[in-house]
Amino acid sequence: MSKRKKRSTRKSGRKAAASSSGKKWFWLVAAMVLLALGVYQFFPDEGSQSNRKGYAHPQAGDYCKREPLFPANYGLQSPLLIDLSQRQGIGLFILEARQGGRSLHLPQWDFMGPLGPYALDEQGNIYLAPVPHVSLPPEALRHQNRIYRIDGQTGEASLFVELPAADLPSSRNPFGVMGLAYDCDSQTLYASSVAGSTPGEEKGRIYQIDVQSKELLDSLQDMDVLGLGIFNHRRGKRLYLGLARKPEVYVIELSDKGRFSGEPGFAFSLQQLSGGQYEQAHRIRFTRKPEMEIKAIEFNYTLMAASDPLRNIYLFDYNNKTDDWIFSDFHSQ
Amino acid sequence: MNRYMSKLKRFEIVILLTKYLGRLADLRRWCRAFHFRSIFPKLFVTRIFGVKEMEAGKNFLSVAKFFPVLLPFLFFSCGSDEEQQDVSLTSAVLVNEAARERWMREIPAFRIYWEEIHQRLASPFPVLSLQPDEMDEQGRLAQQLALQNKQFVRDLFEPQSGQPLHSEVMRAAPLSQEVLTRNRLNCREGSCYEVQLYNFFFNHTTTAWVDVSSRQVLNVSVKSGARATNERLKRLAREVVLHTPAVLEALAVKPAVAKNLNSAVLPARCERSRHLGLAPVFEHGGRLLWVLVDATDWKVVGYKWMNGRLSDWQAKVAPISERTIQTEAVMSNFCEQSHDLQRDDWSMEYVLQPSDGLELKNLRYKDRQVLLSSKLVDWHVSYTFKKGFGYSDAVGCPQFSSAAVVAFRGPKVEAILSDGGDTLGFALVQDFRSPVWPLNCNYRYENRYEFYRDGRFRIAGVNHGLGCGVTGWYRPVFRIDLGEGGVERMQRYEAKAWRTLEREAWHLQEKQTEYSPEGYLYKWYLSERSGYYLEPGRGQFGDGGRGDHAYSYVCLCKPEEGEEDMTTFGPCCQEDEMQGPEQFLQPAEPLAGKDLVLWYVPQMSNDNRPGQEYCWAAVIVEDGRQKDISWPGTVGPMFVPFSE
Repeated sequence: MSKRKKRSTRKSGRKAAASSSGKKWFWLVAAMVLLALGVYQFFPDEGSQSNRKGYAHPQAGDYCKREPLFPANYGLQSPLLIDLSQRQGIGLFILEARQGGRSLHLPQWDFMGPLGPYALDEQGNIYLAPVPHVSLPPEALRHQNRIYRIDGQTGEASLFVELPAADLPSSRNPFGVMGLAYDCDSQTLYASSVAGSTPGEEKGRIYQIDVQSKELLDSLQDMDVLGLGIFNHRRGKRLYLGLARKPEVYVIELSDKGRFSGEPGFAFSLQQLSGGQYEQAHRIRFTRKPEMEIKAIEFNYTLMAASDPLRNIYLFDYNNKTDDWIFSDFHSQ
Repeated sequence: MNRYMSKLKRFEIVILLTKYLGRLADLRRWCRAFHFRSIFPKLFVTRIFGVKEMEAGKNFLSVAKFFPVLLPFLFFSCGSDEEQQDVSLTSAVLVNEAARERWMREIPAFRIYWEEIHQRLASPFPVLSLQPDEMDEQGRLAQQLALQNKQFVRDLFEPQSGQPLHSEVMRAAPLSQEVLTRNRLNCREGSCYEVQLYNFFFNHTTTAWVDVSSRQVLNVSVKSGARATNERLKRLAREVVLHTPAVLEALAVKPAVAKNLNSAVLPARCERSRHLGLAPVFEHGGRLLWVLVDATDWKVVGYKWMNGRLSDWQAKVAPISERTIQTEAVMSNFCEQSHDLQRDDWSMEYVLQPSDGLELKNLRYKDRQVLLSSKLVDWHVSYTFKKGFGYSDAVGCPQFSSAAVVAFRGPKVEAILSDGGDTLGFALVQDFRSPVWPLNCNYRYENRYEFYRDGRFRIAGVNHGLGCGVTGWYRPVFRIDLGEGGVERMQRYEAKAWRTLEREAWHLQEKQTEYSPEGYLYKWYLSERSGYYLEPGRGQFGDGGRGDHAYSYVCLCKPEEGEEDMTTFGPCCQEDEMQGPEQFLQPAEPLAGKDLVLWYVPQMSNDNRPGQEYCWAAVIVEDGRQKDISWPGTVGPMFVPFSE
């Protein structure tokens, strides 16, 4: 018992000493915290929480997109459809969205070859990226990391930007840009590329591009992503990412200026949804309803995907109470 | 007392020893779990102690006395090379065992199920109902009401032939509250049921929502694939797996032990075959063994060891599917990996290339090098119904390649038999498929290398259709490099004599093409006095082939001209010599004293006329299920040795 008391006395002595030095530490830490807060106030981190605003009216990030005007010059009437299915021919076809509607393909677009993802902006400009379609001539390999732009007024096609990649597309991974999404608020374009990725290394990138200056504003590295989709949640802007190697969708928060904020996190797995399959989210789209529509494919970094006629569509309803998505349906295209 | 304690302690130690030594068969797994390579000899363990003792942990005293001997083995044997080839713990393994007859003999429940299917198929109402113990009283009523609904049972017969199809009720259970709310269904509490009928031919599920209180079918819908699986099929899938030697070997336990392992059966996908998939999973040694069963063909597709606990996978879809198992097995065992094959007097290496099919390398016959490399670079497909419409299909690895038609499994070796059943030689065959062959615009090709005991060999391509319609033309592009890279000479039979080719050139095998009396077109000298004749296909090989009609291009061998793996090569839809290799003939260089390469592009057109099908495929009904059949078209030259 006495031993215990002695120890206790020693302990209280130590406690007193510790208390005095603890106070010093407390003030030091408090000062540092205040200093950090001050610095933060003046130089806020681009992607920080305080720099993200919520949206009273949740909607798609490309809410401002509009149809190109030039098809009217060729006699096409709105509403229009963008057809990149290669069923009518190689490349872009613009169709009248009605039974027996006319279609438009300009010969000057041929240099772009087969095309995959696209995005529209508020001017009706169309951003497009090439994608190998079943066959791939060797000379087309080096063009896979390009984004083209078709002017919404004139229909003129031009190279918009060529993205830097970890490595060039090759016969072992002939893919480059896989997903495009436009954000109306920041007037920036997002592009995902898997160029240079190998079986052992995920070297894909996601870029934020200023559509005016063509400057690359921000990027995520070492992540292979197919589909991209932006949605303005009540709690902030979010970019949804369809992973290329797993049947999973990730999400990352975006700042007001559209910069990536934090790390991408798991949102949901397509495979674990009722009727879901082991396939990748290839296109992510938000309707006005709002509804999230995910078009999925079997993606293996081969040209096989192009010959697969099966596309499955996953639909999610927006839950206004929770500001989140609820899986509603799954069906084949 | 002390003595008693000491005895107790000793007893505890022995129990511990038994516990661990009784599972020595798992030591190899431990090594692998810690990323060591181990030869920790299963043989050593089983030979000294016997498998039975190891599994059951019996006779621990006889085992325990060897512990000091085993200990150094445990630590020092981790790290040898033998385990490098055993990838079963890290990669999927293909089994492809479809032993329906054996399972009918060995599994009574399977026999009963199969007989029941046949009984139902012979009846006017070919539906297998849900077993009574799988639903409650109201569920039984819901099933009965659904099966009386014409829309619900509209797909019981194949529309064209009228053949009965295997349909089976998978579920008759109350509708979830979520579905009721979403669809605004006004049902009295617990009175609305969901009945699901799976059609094994169409691979779709018809779902009926039934209100048993009003005895009404509220809604009927059809969706592709299976949406649920009944308990009977799950039990059968588990039994089938427990009767599959390859799986028992992977578990490294006897069937009696395997039966008692903690297990479950989860829904899985057979997305390529469009069949019903089930995945029995077994918890063993701190890991999960996932097995994929194709419950339409009753085939064990393959298995894969994964980390995790069974409790984490309740009410989920299996993490494996037909595609993931096949892709992983091919990528980890064959893609860009050289394998040796020795048989009869032949020896060779073969490699599955990303985009150039199965490449044959360093072929030797009786110690003589015959061929340096042969590969199938592309299949050009065009259709006469639309000019310029078609594809250049590369064949190769299922991931990270430019291939559009890929390997679903590794190569097979099969015997070549004469009509009388004598063995003439063997063939090395690699199959490539589009995702859902034989559906429209999907393709299936084969690399086929045949080796005969008399020294002949054939480089062939096989086309199983189906493509995008009739009037399809197929042009496989072969690159063939005979010899061993030395000085070679090529002659072509022309004007009744063999004439040496002086410069690079192409030639089309036409009706008026002249052959030697034996039917040879080229004579390829690999040395001063010996080499191989090239005998093109003219329908004489007895495989149903209708001739090669080939473009052949004799070129100088240059590494930059096709030696490396190529993306697609040449345009899809040219009907002339512009198939790709013609670019290597510009300018036509002299051939004398050089190493040569032959590019060989046969041509074949498909045919769907009944009884005359060629390069064609179809889906037929067999036992009420889908069965894919094909009428292959085979092209490619035979090489016949000569010595002067």
